Amino acid sequence: MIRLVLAPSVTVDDLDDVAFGLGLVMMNILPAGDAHPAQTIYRTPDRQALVHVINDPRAAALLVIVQGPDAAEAAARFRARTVVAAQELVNA
Amino acid sequence: MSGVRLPFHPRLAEHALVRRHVIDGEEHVVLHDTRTGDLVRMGTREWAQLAAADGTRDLAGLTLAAAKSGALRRASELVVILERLQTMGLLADGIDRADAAPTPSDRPLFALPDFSLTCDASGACCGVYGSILFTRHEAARARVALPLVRDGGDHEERVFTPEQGTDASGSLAVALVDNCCAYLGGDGRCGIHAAAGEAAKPAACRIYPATFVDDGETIRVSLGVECACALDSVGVAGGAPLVADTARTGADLPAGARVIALPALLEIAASVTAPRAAYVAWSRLLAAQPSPADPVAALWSLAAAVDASGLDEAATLAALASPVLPDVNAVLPWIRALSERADSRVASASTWRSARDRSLTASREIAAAAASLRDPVALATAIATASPDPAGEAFYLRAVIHGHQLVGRLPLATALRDRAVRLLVARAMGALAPALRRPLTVLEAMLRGHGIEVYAREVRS
Ligand code: SF4
Repeated sequence: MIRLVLAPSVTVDDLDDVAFGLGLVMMNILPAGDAHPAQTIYRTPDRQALVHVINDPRAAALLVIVQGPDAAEAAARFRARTVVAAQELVNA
Repeated sequence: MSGVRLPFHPRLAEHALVRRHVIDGEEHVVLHDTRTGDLVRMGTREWAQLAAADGTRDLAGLTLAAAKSGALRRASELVVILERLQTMGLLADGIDRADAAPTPSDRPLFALPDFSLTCDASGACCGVYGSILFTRHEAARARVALPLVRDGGDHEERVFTPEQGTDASGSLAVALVDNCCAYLGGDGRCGIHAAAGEAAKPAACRIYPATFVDDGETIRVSLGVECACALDSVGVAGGAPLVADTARTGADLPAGARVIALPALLEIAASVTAPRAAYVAWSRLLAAQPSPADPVAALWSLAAAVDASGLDEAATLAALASPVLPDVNAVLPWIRALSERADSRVASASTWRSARDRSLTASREIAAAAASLRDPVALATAIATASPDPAGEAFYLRAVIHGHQLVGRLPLATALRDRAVRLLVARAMGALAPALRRPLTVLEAMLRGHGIEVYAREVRS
């Protein structure tokens, strides 16, 4: 699982554009709950990675979590289209 | 955040009519507000995002549905569209909708006497209206008969939109190509009729221009005087009856006939109501009187009688016995309101309708006629001048009264004045364009079919 911390200047609209450009398929929209902040979940067209866009108003920036067999490749494609402040591998 | 509060489960309100137009070859979606006559244009992709707003989804569900349809690019786009529509009063919340009580099927029919319609089959009426409705079954039949029309055989959504809001379970409105029905052939003939026979046409087209109103006693069968053939048929025998001669009750009406039920209480003047039965008796009384010599004076005097005495029989008969021509200053605000509404219709239609669009030229004809009457001297002359078509105007009154077309949208007194104003404007249309065939029918079709009739609520004295 890869976590991307986006630059504070990146907006939800910017991310929508990235998702559209990458052909990501929207799977679900989860409103903020006790256990998790609001997130939009996409999959890649080849179904080899899931992309969670996390919009937590308490955080300074948007977060993207990429998981699945092709997580590294999907994260790289994401990075190529937006400004990423930090990337880390989580539980890998 | 714009501060606009969206409904929790947004859907288009019933008064929002979405129509797909092809204008000079380019596709647009136009959302008409039937309460105000305003319209919103949007791209086909915007409409595809909105089409899932059927009152069952919250914003997240709607965003997902729009994404699934391939129409969503940014979630914020959808929010902007919804906020715009909400600001215009075009959204409702949830799926609650009151269904009218059905008309008893044994209600007797009462058809307008002594009338049959001779249709000229020119297809003129297939290019005037803003909505041409098909049942789902009729739409499917048309798509099978003519699958290549707008590629509708494979893509229903390219030829049809829901009649009201986003409710795809009801009737469907056909796409309009330069305001003509997508199935109208280049020869002016109905393509569905030509390909699959008359029975394959939508019932609304086969029934047109008949109207059906259940007044609690009978179903009044009349017609909208909206096509030239209607007036050309006056006094001409041998045409098609409005309903089959053998039809006796509501059960005998053709499938697809829409029967409108009059409410139990009707507004007859500002804040004054009357029971439906009293109104029906009033309408019978009027129908039994000879045609007035001057319909404008008769209508205006009847309105004054209704304002002063409600549906009182003696007052009604007195108004008809000595009708008084309206004062110019009383009519002027009406002409101004109609003129402004027609001008704004021309201004908005000119920005997107094709020069070939008959509804655009008709709007211009109405606007020019109304403008010509804004001059008090010209209006006084028009009021004092006898009708150029007494038989046509007398028939119009007969059809309107028999068909209960004076009640429903406006208080009765207001509706009577509205009809007088329509006659004056139609006469002016004829005076400005002598070649115009049956201007009253053009005006009627445009007022109802394109929402210009809302002018009557905008009259300011
Ligand atoms: S279906 Fe046929 S009759 Fe009806 S509006 Fe279209 S072309 Fe005209």
